[in-house]
Amino acid sequence: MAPSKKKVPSKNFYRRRQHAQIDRISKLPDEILDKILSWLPTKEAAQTSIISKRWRNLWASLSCLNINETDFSSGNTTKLYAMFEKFGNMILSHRVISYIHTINISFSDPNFSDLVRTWISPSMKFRPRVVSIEVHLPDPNFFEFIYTSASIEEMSLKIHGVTWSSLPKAINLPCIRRLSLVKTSFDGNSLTRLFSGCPVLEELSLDMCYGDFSPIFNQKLICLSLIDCGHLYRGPGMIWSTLLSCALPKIVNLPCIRRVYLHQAYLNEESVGKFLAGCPLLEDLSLENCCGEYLTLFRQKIKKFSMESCILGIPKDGASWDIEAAVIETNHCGNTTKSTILMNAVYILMIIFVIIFC
Amino acid sequence: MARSSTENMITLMSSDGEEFMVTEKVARECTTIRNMLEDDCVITNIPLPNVTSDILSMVIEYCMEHVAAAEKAAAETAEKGSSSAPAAAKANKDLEEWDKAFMNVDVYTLCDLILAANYLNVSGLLDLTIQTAANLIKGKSPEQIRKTFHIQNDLSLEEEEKIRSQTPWAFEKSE
Repeated sequence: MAPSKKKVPSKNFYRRRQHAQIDRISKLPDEILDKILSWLPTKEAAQTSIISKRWRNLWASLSCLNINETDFSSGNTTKLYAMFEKFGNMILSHRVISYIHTINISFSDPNFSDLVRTWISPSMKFRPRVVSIEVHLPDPNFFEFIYTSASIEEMSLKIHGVTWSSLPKAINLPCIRRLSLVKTSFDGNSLTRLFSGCPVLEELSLDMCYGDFSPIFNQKLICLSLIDCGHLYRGPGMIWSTLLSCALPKIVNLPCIRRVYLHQAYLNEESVGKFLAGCPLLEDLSLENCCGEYLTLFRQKIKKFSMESCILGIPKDGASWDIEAAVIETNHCGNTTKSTILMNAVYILMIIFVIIFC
Repeated sequence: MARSSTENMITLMSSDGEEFMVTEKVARECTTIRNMLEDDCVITNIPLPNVTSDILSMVIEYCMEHVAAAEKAAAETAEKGSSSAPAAAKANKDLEEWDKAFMNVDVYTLCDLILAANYLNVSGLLDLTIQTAANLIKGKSPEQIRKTFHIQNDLSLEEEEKIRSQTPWAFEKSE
């Protein structure tokens, strides 16, 4: 589709084109070149050091490190390992500023897990604010060291492989506002522990986490996502699922919450009623792939409500929605109870299949 | 609230003395100007000594397009009582296309736009220009980057060799 308003270059614009052979980019301040280089994989940013004298040391003070396995896709693992080790040491020892804003690391090869740990631990002294790590976990306590960083404001931990991460006993993330965890196990009080260790947390996303999410009390939380969070129990050498769809937490008190996103949750009138009663300021509710009973949403302050691919039972007594919603979206939703059971069965089979083959 | 602010006109003056009349809403897209307006609400004439007229006209064009797109989306939601997802997605895509066409400039202009967006603090434009510049660098060899941005190589062969030997991992060819 063509833009509604075509850009018409002015006369000045053409005059300017005559200057186009001048090296303008090297005259930009360091701060801006840093922003540009931060968009590149760190390996490519380092390659700019031989462009000219101006560019020589820019990469060494990069405020954003992007390290991805695919940047080092040469040769065998041993060579790769040696290269990454050199690279990590180099970055840490060559830095001319004592500050890193963002660290993005992504490795899916289990051989790199230990290296990632030995590398990230010292890099914490550069007081990163945004940290995103994707790694193959060797043991559940792998991330323990990261839960006590005073500088982190945003953190996202992703895990490859079958090992679930566990939350450490001591959590102290005084500045964290946004946290996203994947494949983390929660025991009876770890959610409470997490909240007390993260006093200013505003956004929490839990993806494929299992365990007990009840009670959920938080005075500051604004946004909550529960994605594929089933009640999974660990059998001998295997992870069993008793209920594939996530049951909503029973005891809820989230006085500031505005947005909730539920993916693959099991909903019934009682649990939804209790959940919503604990979220008095909820404005935006999104449901995706959810199943269960028909929802009754009475006298809610919800302004935006969306359902995507949800299968909900038939309303019992003509119950309907009575919400302040300005925007209601429903896509691909069905309402048969039989298909709910069928869907659950399919999910159970799929997950068991996946677990066995992992 | 929207009525009164859309009718307020602000004059922006470029470094070479050219004057641009814009609505307050468009001017507020620039955080730097928004802050000035909040400090002193009767201000109507703002000199911008760091921005030339040709670049300022482009920044204004960007702000106008984005304000118009946001207004259109808001009007549609108000009219129908609900927004349809496909329409919103299409509007987003149109704006992206517009941004892409807008970024079809030479590297000199691009660098000036980055500086202006940084000075005026137009976060959308700053992200767009920075990303465009990064995409021009991405996947290119140092020699290609020099050519793209007309950079003179002032490193001697020995110096270049020294840098390469210090960071061998950066220059390993991937297979």
